[in-house]
Amino acid sequence: MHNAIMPEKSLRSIPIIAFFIALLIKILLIVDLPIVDINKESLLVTELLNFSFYIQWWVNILFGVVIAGLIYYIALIILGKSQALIAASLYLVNPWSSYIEVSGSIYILDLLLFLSLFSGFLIKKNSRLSLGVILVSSLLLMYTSILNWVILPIIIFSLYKSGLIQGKKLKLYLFLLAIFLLPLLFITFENSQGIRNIYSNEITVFSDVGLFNTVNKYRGETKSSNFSTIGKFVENKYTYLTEHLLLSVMRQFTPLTYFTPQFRLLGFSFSPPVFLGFLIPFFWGIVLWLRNFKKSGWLSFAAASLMLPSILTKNSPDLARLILFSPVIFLITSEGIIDVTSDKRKIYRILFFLTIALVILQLFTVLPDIPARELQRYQMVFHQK
Amino acid sequence: MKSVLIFLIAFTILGGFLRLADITKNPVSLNIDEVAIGYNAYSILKTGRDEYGQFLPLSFKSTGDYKNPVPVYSMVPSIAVFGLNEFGVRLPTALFAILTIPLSFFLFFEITKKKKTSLIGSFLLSISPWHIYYSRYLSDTLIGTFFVMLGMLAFLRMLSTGKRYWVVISSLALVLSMYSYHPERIFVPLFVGTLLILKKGIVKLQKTNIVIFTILCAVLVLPIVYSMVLGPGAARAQMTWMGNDIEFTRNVLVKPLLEIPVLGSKSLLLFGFWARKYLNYFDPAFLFYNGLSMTMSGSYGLGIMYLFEIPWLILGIITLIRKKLSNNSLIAAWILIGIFPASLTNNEQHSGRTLFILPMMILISAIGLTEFIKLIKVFFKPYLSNIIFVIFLIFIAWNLTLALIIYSVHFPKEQGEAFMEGTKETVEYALANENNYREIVLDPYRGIEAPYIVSIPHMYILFYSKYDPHTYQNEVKMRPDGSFGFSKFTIRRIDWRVDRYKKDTLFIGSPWSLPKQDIKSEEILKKVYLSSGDLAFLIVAAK
Repeated sequence: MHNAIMPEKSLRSIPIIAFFIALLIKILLIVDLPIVDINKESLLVTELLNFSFYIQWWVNILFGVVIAGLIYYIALIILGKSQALIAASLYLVNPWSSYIEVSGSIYILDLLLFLSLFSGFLIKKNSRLSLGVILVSSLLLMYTSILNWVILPIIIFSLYKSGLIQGKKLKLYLFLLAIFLLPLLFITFENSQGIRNIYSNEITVFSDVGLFNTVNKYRGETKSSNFSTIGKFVENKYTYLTEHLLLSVMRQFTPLTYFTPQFRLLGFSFSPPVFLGFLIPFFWGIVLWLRNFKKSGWLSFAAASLMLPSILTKNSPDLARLILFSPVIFLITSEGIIDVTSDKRKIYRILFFLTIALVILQLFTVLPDIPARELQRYQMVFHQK
Repeated sequence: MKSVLIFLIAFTILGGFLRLADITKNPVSLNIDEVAIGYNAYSILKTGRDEYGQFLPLSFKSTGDYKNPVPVYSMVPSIAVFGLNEFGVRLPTALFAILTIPLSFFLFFEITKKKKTSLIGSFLLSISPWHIYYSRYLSDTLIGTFFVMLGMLAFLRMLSTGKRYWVVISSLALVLSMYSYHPERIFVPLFVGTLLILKKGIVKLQKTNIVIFTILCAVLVLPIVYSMVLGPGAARAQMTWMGNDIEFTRNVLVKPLLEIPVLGSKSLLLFGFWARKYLNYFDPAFLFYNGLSMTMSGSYGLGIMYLFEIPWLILGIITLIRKKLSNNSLIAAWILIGIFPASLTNNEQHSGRTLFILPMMILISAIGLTEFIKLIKVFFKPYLSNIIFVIFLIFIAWNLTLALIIYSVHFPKEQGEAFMEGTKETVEYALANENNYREIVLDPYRGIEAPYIVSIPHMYILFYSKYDPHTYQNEVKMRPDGSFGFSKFTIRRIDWRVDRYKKDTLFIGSPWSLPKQDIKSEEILKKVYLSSGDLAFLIVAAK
């Protein structure tokens, strides 16, 4: 990844202004979201959280601000100051984070912890602080979700391969982690049924009844045809489940998921997770990433592992789970924005202004649309009339 | 060059076999468009006029959807030779499809200047599920795609050679594509305009040719412009406009709110809705799982590309981005502009309306495959690369066998109703027993789940009876009671509570209009089933 230099003095202030505007927009989005009123009647929040809903709500908003700060810190080190401000602004301004925070999703806490973990690896000056942050984040992650038992090792391994963590430090980290994980190990053996329940709640990708019905129907049709024997090998439960998993993986990589309301936020919204206009710099960021793939290969692998929770859910892609991956989208987009603005050629200027125009257009659609229609959409989806 | 020719002939023969084998039986029945266009072609052949008596029209009113002229006129010779039947109707599309295979080689070569990649592309096209699907029944979209490819090849040749005959061929072919299928009317001008910008250096050297090309095109498309602005084309556009999409009006707009006339208004929401529809064409489910809608909705069937093409497509895109290939922006523009017309319509992902992007999707896949072979050879030792190739070949064999099963087994069972299966049997029964009844009533509403499909049984009667077009054109078809009919045939809803008392009348309808429990068993003369085993029609005479 390269550190682009802003061409003009006046342009340097753009990211800072953008950050404050983003913060303002975030407040506007949250204020207008009708989710709080809906949640008093409770469908989005479990009964368990019902009494302390406002606490949960405020904690998540606070987490959102901290997450923006962490994104800024990470991007500052790996990309540059301008990219950092833009990436943090993108997190704040886009509806995705606001919706997920306001719904009280646990994945906001997960995201905070993953970002803390990455930040820990990037602290170079104070080795103890670095180790402390990494260790605490890792432990909390391990105690938060079963899926993190898979994701965390992938991330640690990838960061080790990319050179962000040294062998000596890694050994100490693993040793301390192993000690603090002993209670978890104990709980796992003591209450294996509970762990199995958590597992089946978190990994639901193969629990779609419709999928098995389809397999059975197709098998029945093939059995009564000339392809009965070969059909057993070509068309069976395992091939269908593999196809299903592959589709789930691929859907995490399509712009449709991130830039349009195809997979609705919280199951009902028409607000896009990320404003469509940002698709232009995002693509440009992807092109830059592909051109520098050798340098960022292992980091990309670590980042991709954050898609696992969304891949392994029944209604994949799940934007609440996929919020873990959102900083990657914003980092790539910020890199694209800086590259587009730093090029003086006419086509880049056009692309930049097209981006801004589209974002403003969609922002002014979403802001009044939330109070006007989102409640009705929610009621239509959840039959609460 | 000799080996290229041998390969091309082999691919064409293979493609021909896949497109012609069992063509009259799979798809299981002629659909509404096939019988409507088939009968209009027959009418043109016999009288020079369409079913409404219009002399050599450029837009066929047909069932009210104003069909394009090229599919009708291209069917006339086939019907003259083979008769008004399934083969006569389906042959022209299959022939256009077979011709597309060698044509694709020349187009790919013109774009990439690479023989190997172009040959791989032609092979992939010959086995493409997308292309095979649309080549086995009358598809105006496939005919349009053929002319787009021919027109673009000629246009690129015109730019590279400056020869005048390419100007004529390109303008004729591109205009013919616009007379074949509606989305081409948006795609062709937009794409040609983009090409002129992309190749402005060459365009400056070919000013005269470009001027002649533009004048020729402008003159030839005048009837289309007239139709779009003042004629029925506008009505057709309105019918398919995305603003009428039920998903938009019901779930997005919720209700029109007068208090926010500008911000958050319908047009701004429509823009967001359009963006979603546009990007939806890149959904992996459409590309690789069920884009062709050959199986039941929501299940896995066949996408517009095979699953084994996933790595090739990804590698192809990466190669286009990372390497400076010739015409990479042309390939990207073809796809991005190609999706635009379909995204403006009121259907979720329509594989037919985007068929003209198929050549470029195939080309990217071919570029990816070329790169894939190179990468495997570079990164792995010979024995390992051989193992990888074998594994991949097994994967390909699995996917092709699955496609064959979907096509031969699931498609007829799942989509028989969409192809109006059963109507032919009912019509043949009616024609065979025509003399025994005073009136034959056919209910146009059918459907297994609910009677929501409006069919056109009269057109099947005209088609299978080879009804004299001259008589049909001059007959009064609206009856005094408001029903539609000709000769002994009446097309109207059946109300069995009233109709059960009508003697000497044959009733043909779905179990929704002819409820079995209300009909004596001796009154049911025939039951017609779909391939899926569901009861589609009852043929009943009150006793």
